[in-house]
Amino acid sequence: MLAYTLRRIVMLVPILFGVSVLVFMMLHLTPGDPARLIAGPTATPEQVDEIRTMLGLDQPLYQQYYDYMVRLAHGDLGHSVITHDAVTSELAPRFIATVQLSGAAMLVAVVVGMTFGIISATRQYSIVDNILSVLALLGLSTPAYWLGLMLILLFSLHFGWFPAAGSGGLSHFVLPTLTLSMFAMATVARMTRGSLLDVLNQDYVQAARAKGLSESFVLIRHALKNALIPVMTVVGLQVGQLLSGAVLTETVFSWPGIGRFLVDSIEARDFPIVQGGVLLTAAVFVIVNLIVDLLYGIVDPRIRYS
Amino acid sequence: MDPNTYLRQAHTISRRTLLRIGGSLALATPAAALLAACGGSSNKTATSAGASTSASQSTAASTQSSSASPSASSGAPGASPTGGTPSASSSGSSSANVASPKDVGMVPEGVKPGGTLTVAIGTDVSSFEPQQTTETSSTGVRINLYDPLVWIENQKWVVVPWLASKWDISEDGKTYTFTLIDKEVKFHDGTTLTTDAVKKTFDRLLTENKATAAGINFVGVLNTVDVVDDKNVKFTLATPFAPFLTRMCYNSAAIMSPDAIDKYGKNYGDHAIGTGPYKFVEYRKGDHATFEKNPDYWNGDVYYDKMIYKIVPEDASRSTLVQTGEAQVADRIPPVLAKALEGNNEAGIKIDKTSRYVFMLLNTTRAPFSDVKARQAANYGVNKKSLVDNILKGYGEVPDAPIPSVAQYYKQQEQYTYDVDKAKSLLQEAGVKPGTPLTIWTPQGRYVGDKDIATAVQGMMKDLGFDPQVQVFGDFPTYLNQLDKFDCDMAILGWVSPDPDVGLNNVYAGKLAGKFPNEGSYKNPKVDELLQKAVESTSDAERTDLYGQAQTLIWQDAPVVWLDWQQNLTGLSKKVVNVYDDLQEVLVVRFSGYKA
Repeated sequence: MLAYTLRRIVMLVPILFGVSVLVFMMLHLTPGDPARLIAGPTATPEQVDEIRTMLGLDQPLYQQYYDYMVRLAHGDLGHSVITHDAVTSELAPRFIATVQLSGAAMLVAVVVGMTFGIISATRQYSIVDNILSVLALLGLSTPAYWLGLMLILLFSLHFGWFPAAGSGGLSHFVLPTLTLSMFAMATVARMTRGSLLDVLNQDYVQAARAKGLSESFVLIRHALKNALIPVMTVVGLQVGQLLSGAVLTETVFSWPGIGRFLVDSIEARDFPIVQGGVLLTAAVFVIVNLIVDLLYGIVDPRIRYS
Repeated sequence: MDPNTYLRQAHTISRRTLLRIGGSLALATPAAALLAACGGSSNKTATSAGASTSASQSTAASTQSSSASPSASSGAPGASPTGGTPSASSSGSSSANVASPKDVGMVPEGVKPGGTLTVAIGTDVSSFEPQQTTETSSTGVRINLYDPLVWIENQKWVVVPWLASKWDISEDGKTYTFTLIDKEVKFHDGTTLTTDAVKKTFDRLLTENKATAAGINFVGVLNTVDVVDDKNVKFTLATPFAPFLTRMCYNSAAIMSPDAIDKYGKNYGDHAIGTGPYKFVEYRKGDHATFEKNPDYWNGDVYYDKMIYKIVPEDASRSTLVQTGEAQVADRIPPVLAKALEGNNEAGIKIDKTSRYVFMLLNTTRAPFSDVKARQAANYGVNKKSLVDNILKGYGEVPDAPIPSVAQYYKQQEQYTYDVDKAKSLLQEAGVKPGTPLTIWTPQGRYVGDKDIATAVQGMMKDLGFDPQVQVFGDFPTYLNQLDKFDCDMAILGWVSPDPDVGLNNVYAGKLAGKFPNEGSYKNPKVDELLQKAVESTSDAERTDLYGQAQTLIWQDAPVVWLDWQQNLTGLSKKVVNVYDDLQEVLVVRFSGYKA
């Protein structure tokens, strides 16, 4: 187990290295010159050149990448070309804001999604099951963008219950969390229902029932534990979904998160920010998936790593 | 209140008060150059100045000679915001009293102090230090914190004394001497404003910050700054450059605290020490910035106790915030959302004319638009009124000159009225065959309705017999890059400039043929000659004539399809007055307040 964990951690390095090469190349091969954007439309070519030199963009690409990697090895992600602040100090507050929102959304998605999934599975083909299935389908097919605006219209503008934008107190969390969690919630609900139904039809569950155990005990201790594996996989993948889905939610609700910030930075060709940001999100994604993989072994002792 | 009514009122007050406080207001040729920029609905217009090479010799010479007679000044500051000849006074008042904003009519009657103002802006603040970035959105935020030596009342195009009570321009136009006001002015950190502070500010701009968008306004223009005595500072220019005075009104030229420069260095913006009416309190990236009232402000009333800028990138969310009362001001409301706001009880729409011009560059290097008749045909064949009515929802005007009506020396031309038959016969004369392919380029989300306009024009070109294709560029930097290649026939571009030199001598300049912003490669030696003469001329009448002639020639040559003069829309609570977008599209809330 330990060896496996270590090997997986070591494998993160080439993955992140690949990500860094890809992002670097994609950014630098995209048309659009940061120096020109910084200088403004009426700067002379000489002034633009000066800014380009200052940013090191006049160097050959391999040299720029080498410099970038050397700095990265020292833990230096560089500075924003717009604000001149360190990339880490630009990313940190936004990353925290995104983690708060995604965390809240994940919590809601797992708790509500699993509850609905269990209810559905235990009352298969009942009215409740049908209603929940339709709701789940709606949740899957509703674009976050549209849902967010509708929630604002209804709960901010019409009823005035929750603030329409920004972050701050708990009340600011309600609408964006609901918006962001909708897709994941529906996915978790469907996955829980499906895998639970699977398990409930297996012989060992019948055996547990035959022993005279109560239905709820069978459900929680015997069935659910085994139904969790596929659900966990989905939840792990949803972390990526939440991070990317957060771009839209953050935009609609003006949440000061990293998704929206990266999109803006791409538009402004703020290379260091985009590189650092993508690297960070990629790292989070692979680490979360690693954790999920390791959790399999804990939830289901039959799974052994060697 | 009808915005025009207010403009007129404020304008009258301004003139009277300027006369009172500036016993010797001398006015010379209005040679102020303001910025040119492309950009727009996405709020990223740079307020960096353009035309740095087209120095005008004008103000300088006439300034010294024009002795201050009240009659001379009575006409000129009367710069009409809608045409006429907006002017910059080029020699300041010798009076010790600087005009407080209320005195010069920048704040209307009936405003009470107190309260919190929340402003929802679409773009995050790029820097709180004036010497870094210059885009309109951040400029609008920063002007609450800082003061320059001179202020331009932008909606009226008048330079007024500010931290400097007067300024003298040498006969050769190369040295500007500013005299600080007699009041003691304190920075937010308690430091006193001195001539040394002025020098230190500009030394920083010319060395450390020379390669920033702010520095670009001054590098190559301004050579040295010297302290004459404890009241006077001398600015020496590389060459005579009349737009220098207006450039000194920019936020880039705001005076910074010398103590804070030493103490914070590169992190100046984290503390944002200025002399302005509001003090920096806190900033959370991507979320909000908070300012508080500066109780020691040197120049008149400060209206709000607290000011909060919320960063709200989504148009619909900004619009919602003013409707729910979570914000009192929301910048850049797109026309489609404006109608909803107009029906609201709490909030309304403030409409401001700016110098924003949107047009379609035509490729003059290849058929069909190498032929002037085909270019005129395109202008006749585009129903501009329909674009303004349907896409801008009426919040704009059909252009009738190559520069906007708010610009200096604007001269009205005869409109290319929508006429398909005329356009078709012009195309026939030009030998353009039906079915000729056309490529139309447009950015998306940069200018109000840009892609919709391109699609509409596509249909109109089809009506003329062309076979048009539209290519959309969602990413503006890519679009700029593509424009340099200009492998198309028509391409949408926007430009902002209240100054005729920046407005004409870039987009239509032969020297920039094939380069930004004249990527359609329009070249008319006669126009170039007129424009060159105009920047060198010292006579107002002559410049009026030269710019007028140039506009007429350009209008006949039709190097672009002039599409619209876009108006800027700000969502505004009905409780707040005197918020506006200035001619350069900077949202100014500094002089606003709650209704009494």
